[in-house]
Amino acid sequence: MNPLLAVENLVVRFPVGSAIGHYFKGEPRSIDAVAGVSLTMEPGETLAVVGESGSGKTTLARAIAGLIPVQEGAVRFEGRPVANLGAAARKALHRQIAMIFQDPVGSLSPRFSVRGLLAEPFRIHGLAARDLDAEVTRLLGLVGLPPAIAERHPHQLSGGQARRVGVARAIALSPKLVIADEPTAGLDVSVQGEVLNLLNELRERLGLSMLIITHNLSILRHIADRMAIMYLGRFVEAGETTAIFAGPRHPYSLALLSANPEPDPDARPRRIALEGEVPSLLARPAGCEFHGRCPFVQARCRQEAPALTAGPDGRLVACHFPLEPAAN
Amino acid sequence: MSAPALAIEHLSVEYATAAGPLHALRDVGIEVAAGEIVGLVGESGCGKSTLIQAILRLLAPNAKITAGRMALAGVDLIGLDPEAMRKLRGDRMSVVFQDPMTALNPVLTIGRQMVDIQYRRREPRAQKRRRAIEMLKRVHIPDPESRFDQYPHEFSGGMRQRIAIAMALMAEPVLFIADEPTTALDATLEVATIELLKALQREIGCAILFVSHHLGVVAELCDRVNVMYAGEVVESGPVRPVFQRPQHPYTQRLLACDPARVHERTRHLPTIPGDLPDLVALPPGCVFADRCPKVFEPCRRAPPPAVKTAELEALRCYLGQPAS
Repeated sequence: MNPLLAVENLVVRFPVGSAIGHYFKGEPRSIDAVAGVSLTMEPGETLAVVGESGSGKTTLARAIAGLIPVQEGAVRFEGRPVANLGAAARKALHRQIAMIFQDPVGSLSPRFSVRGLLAEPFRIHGLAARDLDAEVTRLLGLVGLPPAIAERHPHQLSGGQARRVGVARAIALSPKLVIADEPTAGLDVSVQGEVLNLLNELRERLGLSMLIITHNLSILRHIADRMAIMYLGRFVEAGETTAIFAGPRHPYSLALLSANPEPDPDARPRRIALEGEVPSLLARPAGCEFHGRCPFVQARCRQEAPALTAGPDGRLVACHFPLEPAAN
Repeated sequence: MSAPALAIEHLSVEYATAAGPLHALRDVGIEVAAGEIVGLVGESGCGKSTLIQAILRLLAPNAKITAGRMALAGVDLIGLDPEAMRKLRGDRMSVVFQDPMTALNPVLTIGRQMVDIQYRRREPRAQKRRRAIEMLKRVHIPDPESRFDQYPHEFSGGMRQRIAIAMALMAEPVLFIADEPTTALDATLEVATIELLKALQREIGCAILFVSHHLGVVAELCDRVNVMYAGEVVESGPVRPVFQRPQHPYTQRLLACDPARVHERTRHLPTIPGDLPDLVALPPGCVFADRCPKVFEPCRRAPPPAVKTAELEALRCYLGQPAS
């Protein structure tokens, strides 16, 4: 049986710079924003991809949704290729893969009422013959909004309400996979929980699979079954969420997990400090790309790039000297 | 004893709106002692931004300070004329905002901007340049001499925020207001920026008013904290009692909501149901009553006064026990 989603050695490349810079200064013509990522997802599963700005996580999400061209590798949804489709095939795909975009208010057209926004997916996919008012009421009910909100426009919604409308749009056509790009960005803490609870509830009720893109480690612990940590367009560690939180094996994962201040003045986390800045994709470091910032760097790391290899427990780690699981 | 860096008492601010006056801040009291780091936390709509604008005297034209006192190191701020106020801003008090790109001029080199900002000093340019490079070193910009003539876009987001902090601290202000300075930064950079602020505060000795909605960052960085809700400071005191034994039901709920605090993996995270009250037509009682799980009869009658308790400087709740 095919997995729901299979990504193999995906590369997304963007052109950069000028011909002059390329020929006379030896600058690269392109950067690999996603540089060889593989993953699979089963139905009903939630996978979170974590990484900092510029790690390529949003580009990965967009490539999986078929929104941007892919240069190498393959994305298969239920066994069928996703990348570089024609317009008609892409439209059919978007009934199966829906996306929740980062900016809750900005991703909604200001000229539409909530009713118009929720009816739009049906119109686009030629389903306007359905009772659209009933569909709008059903969707609002699913995301926990009162029916009266249908007449409002995006600027009259709070951040949490706008986010719920975004979720309702994504699930309108009963997709199998929902990709949520930073689903809680810009929301207050007290509202963030509501949105995550809603996503969890819909996942169970509608049997959705979810791919969550985030830099917020605190939230993914409560929502993701598996997680992958991305650095400079590649996965450095991937595995079960609870296992990675219990004992990260890549030094970057450890740094990321420990850089998460807790609201307790007496919490003194075992923190590892990263040196320097994130390297530019234009000048990828030789060897392990994390070696310049790694507190445990050794000679081999500067020369030889580590491959992403599976440990005995199935955890994938790209490090020559993975950290031992904590003794406790 | 010297005057506190910032002392705000009974401050109220209203916005004129079509529906009538909107009571954005009501009876706000905040004190930042010299050399202290004080946090200000609260969610959207709690009045954080209005308060900062009021301190800087940069309120919107439809806003009005209706009551209260504000003093910077003993100097009354409300009575100052615009010219005197302009002399204070950037010299005695400075501010860094969330987005470092908007604080820097994209068409001037950072060196030029760092020299220009010292226009008050009557010194040769070379000396100003030396001071700017020294400041860049202090905020860990690698190789500051050669990067002095680069433009803002040539720096990463984290470096730009550090440059903005360097510029704000160059005049060695009495009060440094940091308005969500780490919100746009990644987790590892956020931690580095907190460490940097702590170190700079020790060296320069300025007082910091640190505004954030990230409770973890405030707990780690600040000495004392003020929790705001719907235009009022509902709880204030040293970070330990406020974060470990919060007394106001809003603070309790807010802390319970932070997913970093929920150690057990859960599919159902706590939330605060309900909405902010209408600040034009305020409820007769406590502003949090409609969302409060512990609401009882007096809460609906009149707003609770701010009382001092054994551990807290101020608590606005009928359940609080005033210090005897």
